[in-house]
Amino acid sequence: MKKCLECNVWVNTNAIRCPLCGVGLNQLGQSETTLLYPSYSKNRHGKRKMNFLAKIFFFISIAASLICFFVNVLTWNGLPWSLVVAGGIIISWLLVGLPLLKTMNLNFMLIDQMIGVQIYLYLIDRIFGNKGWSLNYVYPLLYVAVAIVIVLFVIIYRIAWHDYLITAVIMAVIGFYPLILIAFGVIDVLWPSYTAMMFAVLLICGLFIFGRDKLKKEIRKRMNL
Amino acid sequence: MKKEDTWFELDTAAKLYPAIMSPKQASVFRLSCTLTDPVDPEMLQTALYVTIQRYPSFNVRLKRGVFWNYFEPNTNHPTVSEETAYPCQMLDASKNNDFLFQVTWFGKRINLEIFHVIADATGGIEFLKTLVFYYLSLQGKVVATQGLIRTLETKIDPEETENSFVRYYDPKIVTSRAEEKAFHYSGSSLPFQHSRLIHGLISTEDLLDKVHAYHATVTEYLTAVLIKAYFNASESLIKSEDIVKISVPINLRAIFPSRTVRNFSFYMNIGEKYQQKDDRFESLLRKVSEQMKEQLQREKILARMNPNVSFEKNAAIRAVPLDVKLAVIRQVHQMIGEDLFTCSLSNIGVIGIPDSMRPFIARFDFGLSTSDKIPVNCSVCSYKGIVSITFSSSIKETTLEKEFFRFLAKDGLQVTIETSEG
Ligand SMILES: [Zn+2]
Repeated sequence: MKKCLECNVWVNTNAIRCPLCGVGLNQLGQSETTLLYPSYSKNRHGKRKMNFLAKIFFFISIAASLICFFVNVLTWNGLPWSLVVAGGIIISWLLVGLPLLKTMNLNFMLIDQMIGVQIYLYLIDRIFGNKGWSLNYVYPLLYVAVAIVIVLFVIIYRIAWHDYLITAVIMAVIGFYPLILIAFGVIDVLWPSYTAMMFAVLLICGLFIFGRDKLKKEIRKRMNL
Repeated sequence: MKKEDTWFELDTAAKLYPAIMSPKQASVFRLSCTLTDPVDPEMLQTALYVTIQRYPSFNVRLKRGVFWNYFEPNTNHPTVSEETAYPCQMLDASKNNDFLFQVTWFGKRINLEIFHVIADATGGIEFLKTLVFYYLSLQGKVVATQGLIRTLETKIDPEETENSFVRYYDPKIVTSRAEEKAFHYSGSSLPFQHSRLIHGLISTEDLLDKVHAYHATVTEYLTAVLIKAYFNASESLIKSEDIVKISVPINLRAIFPSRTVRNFSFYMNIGEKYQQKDDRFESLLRKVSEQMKEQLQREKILARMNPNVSFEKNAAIRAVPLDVKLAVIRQVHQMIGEDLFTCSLSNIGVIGIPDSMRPFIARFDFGLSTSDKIPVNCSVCSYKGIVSITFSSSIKETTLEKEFFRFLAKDGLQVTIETSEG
């Protein structure tokens, strides 16, 4: 064991200086100290590397967007195509980055991604001639696809399926959005929107028939009743 | 009722923690048990599988409701890992199978780090004792519980997972808690998410002889020494009107009987105005003793504890959405919570281990996390004739620790220092 004569304390360490006052320690008697705590410096490396990689991609994203923006402005032909590039980069972060973070409930993430992609495609549609394909086809069909995925989750992940119930409810409610679009006369091809709404109705029926009790309990839980 | 249908409300004290948790304010504490032999990770993993069955309030994930956070049973399995990170850092549940505690091992030591939202140190010790009991049993050691360990054979009493604050709530006993601000210690910060522990080990017998000579208790004595250490360590920072206040947790189970392993502790703030170096320690200790005796009265504790319960029982407050509530709690905590004390001194006392297990366990340690305003904290536990005093710190300076342990040494106690650095 070692001793600090300044502090008048014994110190169980391999270090040569007193951890309290920094004065050199005196070795009194022979005894080797085993390592008491991990040597932290080695362990953090992996995480930092990962962060660095993310930073590089983030920088490239910003650089690409900026360069496109300047080229777009300098060679202006009436089409703001650089917005499409920037949007595409944001969407890729949403699709790839969010799952990597793993902090979000998978289902909520799916809904967020769905809405993100829909907004992006609407933007492209507007920029390239405003033909209406995004609202007419892509919106409702993407909705149906995501609804099917969520129903599959509910079936496959039986053990945690109460977790996905609330998401299914949100999906069911979202499913009636074409009503607003139809009311404002924004869409002209109606069958995809009708399909989406039929799915929403089916979702509600399914929730009511299979999950009424569970749903009740889940809502009570979330309301802290 | 099926497993996934059950859920717990957060206890009264726990409601604070999801609001204030951040990498700089982890609200995590660590209980460590050093064995006589190196830890066998696979055995420890198996022991953890068994132990978690006995503690439903640990086997949870934290969820967000509309009005409050709540716990629901965690369907994942907790895993043990080798200790690599700095002690008492924020627990990222999403990278921990959603669990709000973590078991790690290093050499002969088993560490249990707990996010304060699920338990206090007394609850944590119960869990650690069960874990070590099953670990030793799996290793083929002949160990018996002697009524000191909660195992799967002893039925889970509903009281163990109750919110005892509500049970002892009495709306008639209330007081205002206007308190003076306390002095805050500071230094140059260690890098982000770094921390340092300094343990000081003293013989329990010597310490008891010492405090009896002063006619004080261990907690009173150590609190007085800590206040003195702050005076000595902050001479250039501190002004004559500054008050050094030590927040000393009270294990409420000692006063209000309960078997809960969730949060059931409160605190008292013991303070003293800055004095010059040459003032007598005895008079400081006497003042500390008087304040503690005063604040430990049942009625006094209830009066300070009850407003928290009435806050959560208030129907109007209940109806506020969760995010608004969390934001308000965070603000209030920032404005007054930590302003009222300089640091904590948490003494969980002697850890009761059955005789049959004692030959295989060398030591227990207890550590707290820190925050920007409270960069140093002190925690104490005792086992097998050794008192382990741990300073956890997020600043480079060790002046406070130096003054504290030098005082003990000067007062005639033999101190052995260990540190997590080097
Ligand atoms: Zn020294």
